[in-house]
Amino acid sequence: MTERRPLASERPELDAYLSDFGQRLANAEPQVSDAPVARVARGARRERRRRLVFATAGLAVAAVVAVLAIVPAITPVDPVSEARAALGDSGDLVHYVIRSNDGPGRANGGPCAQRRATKVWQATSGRPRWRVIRPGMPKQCGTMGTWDGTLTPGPIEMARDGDTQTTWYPQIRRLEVITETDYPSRGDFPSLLFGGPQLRGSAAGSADPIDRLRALLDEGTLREGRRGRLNGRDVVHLVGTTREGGGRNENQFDLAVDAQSFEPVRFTTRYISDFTRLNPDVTPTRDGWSTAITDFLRYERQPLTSATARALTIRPATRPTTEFRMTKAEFERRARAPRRP
Amino acid sequence: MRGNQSHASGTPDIAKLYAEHGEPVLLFLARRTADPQIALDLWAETFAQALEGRSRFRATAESAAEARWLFGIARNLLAGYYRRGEIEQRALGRLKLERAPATPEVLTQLEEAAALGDLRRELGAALSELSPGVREAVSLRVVHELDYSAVAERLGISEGTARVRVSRGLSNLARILDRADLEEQPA
Repeated sequence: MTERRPLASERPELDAYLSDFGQRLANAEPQVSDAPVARVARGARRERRRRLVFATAGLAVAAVVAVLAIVPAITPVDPVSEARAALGDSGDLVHYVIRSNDGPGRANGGPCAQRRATKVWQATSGRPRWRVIRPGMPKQCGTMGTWDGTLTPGPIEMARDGDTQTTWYPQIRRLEVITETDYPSRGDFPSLLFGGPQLRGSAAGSADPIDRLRALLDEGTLREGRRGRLNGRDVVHLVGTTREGGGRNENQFDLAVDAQSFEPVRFTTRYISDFTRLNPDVTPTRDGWSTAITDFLRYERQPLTSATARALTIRPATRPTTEFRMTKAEFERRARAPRRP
Repeated sequence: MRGNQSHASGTPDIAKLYAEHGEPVLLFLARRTADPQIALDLWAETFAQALEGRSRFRATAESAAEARWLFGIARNLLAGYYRRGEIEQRALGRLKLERAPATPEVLTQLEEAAALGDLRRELGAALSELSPGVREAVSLRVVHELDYSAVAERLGISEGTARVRVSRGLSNLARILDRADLEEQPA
């Protein structure tokens, strides 16, 4: 294949990037240190940055509240800012129930869409902490497998506390605890539990639903759109578009928020890429577009206290009959090992 | 370059290797993953592992040997990524070496340099040659860039099976990439 590569002068940013990494490589001293320590160090840096971000956000919110208290009559309501505030911030525990489907096409309607309601409890700051319950679903709606390949169409409960991930399979009374996991970012959320790309819209962005919405609102991607009625509520639509890959890949977002509380009601993403334009048959609707729709059936915020934090922990209702506890390295080694037919 | 010089014992000069092969390795990985971000992560780890492991490399008189060694590291990392869907970054962690976040301009220019638009069109044609189950798994993973867990969910199969299907599909598609990349990497 012949390909025309851009001349160096046409790609100054890429050349600068290559040069920058070369300099970093030159300054890197090989040294003996174990990876967990390095990860902890990176984690600590992230923590510091996060604390700074939240502290700054807290000050910003306080300033906005103070201004609004002084001049409430003349300050117009900005739905984007209100929606951002309604998502919660540092020190909150949010609880939400969402139901998702991937738009028209394939088997996304019917029983799968109706039964795909997932409950989430999530700490909004500090170390990653969340608990997710996905109900059981018919086999055609997707099943989940344990680390050694046991499939279960039953409900799944998964929790994360820092570098420990716990999974409870009540139908087979099985508990798996994986420790020493690397959790690179809050975006590393179990999209599996939501049944698809959901709030992502494309590969870009976080799989953590709330993190994703916050980012879109913080970046200024969304602007106020039309008003209407949805799921029995008055809503304001916040809409926006982003482009990637030199403008060839397009994401369309539509976040409907409650017109009074500004809490999320429905989030719809549509995505098309250069590839799917040329190969529309690979998409469910065969027009090149992929759609993900997520309805928020409930959205609540509470202060994160020792009492409310109990919602972040799995408490099996019955005693597990099988229990695995292993490190992430051991988990990966065993999961990769050949299995008996 | 501090700490990276070629040793008298014949270990590779990483600065020289980077100057000569930094970009080819990056383009090689970009075309194998069709994803600039993943390629950058694998590329950075490749050079971190090369820096860490250079003392274990046995130099020969053949000038291409070092480049083969470097591409071998990149291939191993790529194979691990295909197998697990995860990018190993342990050497970067041990060296406390981080690559800068790539701006949209960098990603776009990398896409253009690696001709990923052409590649995706080729993949589209090649996908039709795969079996339906494998084709859909590859499409969801590579085209729609879903996690393996999400691919498994969509197809109603276990995550392990999803990984096997995608890996098998990518192995077949890699033949196309091999033809395209013959002149980019040492034999």
